[in-house]
Amino acid sequence: MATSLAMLAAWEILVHTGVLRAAFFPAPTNVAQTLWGLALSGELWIHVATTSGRLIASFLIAVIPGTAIGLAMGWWIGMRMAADPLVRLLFPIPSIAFFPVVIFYLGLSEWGLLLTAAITPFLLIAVQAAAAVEGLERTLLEAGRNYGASGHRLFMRVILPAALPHLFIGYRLALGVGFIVTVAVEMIAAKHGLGGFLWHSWQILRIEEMYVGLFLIGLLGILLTYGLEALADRLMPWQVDLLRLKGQR
Amino acid sequence: MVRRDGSLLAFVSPLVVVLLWELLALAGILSANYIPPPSQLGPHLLGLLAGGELWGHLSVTLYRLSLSFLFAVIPAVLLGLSLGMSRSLRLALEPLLNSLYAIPKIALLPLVMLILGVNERTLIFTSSLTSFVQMTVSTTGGVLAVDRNVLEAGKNYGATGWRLFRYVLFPSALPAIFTGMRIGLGLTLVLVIAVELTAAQAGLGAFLWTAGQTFAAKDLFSAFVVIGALGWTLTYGLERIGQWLMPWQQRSSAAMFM
Repeated sequence: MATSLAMLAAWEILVHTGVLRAAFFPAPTNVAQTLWGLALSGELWIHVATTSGRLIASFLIAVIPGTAIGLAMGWWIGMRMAADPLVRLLFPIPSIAFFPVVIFYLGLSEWGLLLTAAITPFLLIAVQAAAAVEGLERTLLEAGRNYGASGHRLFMRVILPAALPHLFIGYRLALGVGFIVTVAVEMIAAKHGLGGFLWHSWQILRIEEMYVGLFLIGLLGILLTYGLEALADRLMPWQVDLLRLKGQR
Repeated sequence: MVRRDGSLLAFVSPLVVVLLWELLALAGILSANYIPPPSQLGPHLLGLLAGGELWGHLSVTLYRLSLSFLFAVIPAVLLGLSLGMSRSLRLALEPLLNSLYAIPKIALLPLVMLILGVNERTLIFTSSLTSFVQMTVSTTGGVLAVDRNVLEAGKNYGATGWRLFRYVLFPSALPAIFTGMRIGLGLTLVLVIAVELTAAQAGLGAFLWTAGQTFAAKDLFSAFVVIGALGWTLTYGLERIGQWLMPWQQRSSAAMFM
């Protein structure tokens, strides 16, 4: 915090003393003013809402089939043998490369953006859900069975709760990737949304607005990354180590 | 025995998909103009490769990929090692790194273009940002995760300074550094393709984009296959190298995510 504030202050001073060119690096106070103006005019909220809406929609498109297929892959060996090679085939493909292919079929529509942003998160969630079921402790399952749980009850009362922390890791990673792809796709092909706003302001060289776009994207990214981490700590305090971001990557 | 069965089975379902695709195209359900069947796609891809056009784009992308990775990995490992060993440096730089970590680096492309101009340098610099941050963080993590007992043992045997680093700290942190590099290379590819889609005239990403915009379905699929093959090679090839270099390391499934 202290470092960031010190850097902002240094930046402000350097701009006013003319060391940094204001055309490239507008003073933080100017950027803040532009931000305020955009917030008052309502334009800012449109972009924030568009990007957040896309992020949520593409996450929903990914999370439901991803969880279902992933859990099935973990549970039934046949499902695993059928789906695992396909997942492993698609997974290493750079997520953004799907975009031209998707819009080739769907056109430059909202669905094209959403579907592109959903593909890699879908695969991530499926892989993670499968791993969650596979990693279940056998003793847990045995105990559940011995107490008479089977079928639906075994799934709801034993498998799902035990798999939940792993599922949550998958969801968090998926949201992170989904956000990156959403912003990239918006930059390439959208008028609205923070990515589109950022790209547009660069093209018409409204530098202060460009910084505003960058700032908001960063803020959303930070909220997404560290907000979810905090949420996980809150919801599953016994799983702290498991959910730490940096241990993961 | 089990392993061979497993690797054979791995080809079954992709093969079924390809056959189904071909059959649907033969039956006329899939239009060849929209979804070219594999039997047409294969020769087209070979033709593009033989004609040299695709090699040109591939080599541009590979050039950008290797330069971006190189520019990222050297400072990242050096900075990561210093951060891991110096507490005050960590306190000073960690907030900055953490916020950079959370920003999609492709969003920095306009800023970099503003400062460096629209040129090759910009594309390469932007592509190196994600993996730089990621590898710095994982190297720092690797150093911090070195077992205290191992360090103590090294010190008790008289290792200090450079020798402690060279023979104790660095080898212990190496697996984490390598995992970081592997993920970093994958991330660099994503960024290179993204940057090419957004702002380049040459390279696989640009070729893919042009093919899509001009409704050249076969070109589109060919470029996609080549990009996919590049992704597979980087992901699974490096996994193999890692296993070969450090056979004592268990394959970590967590490293697959990204």
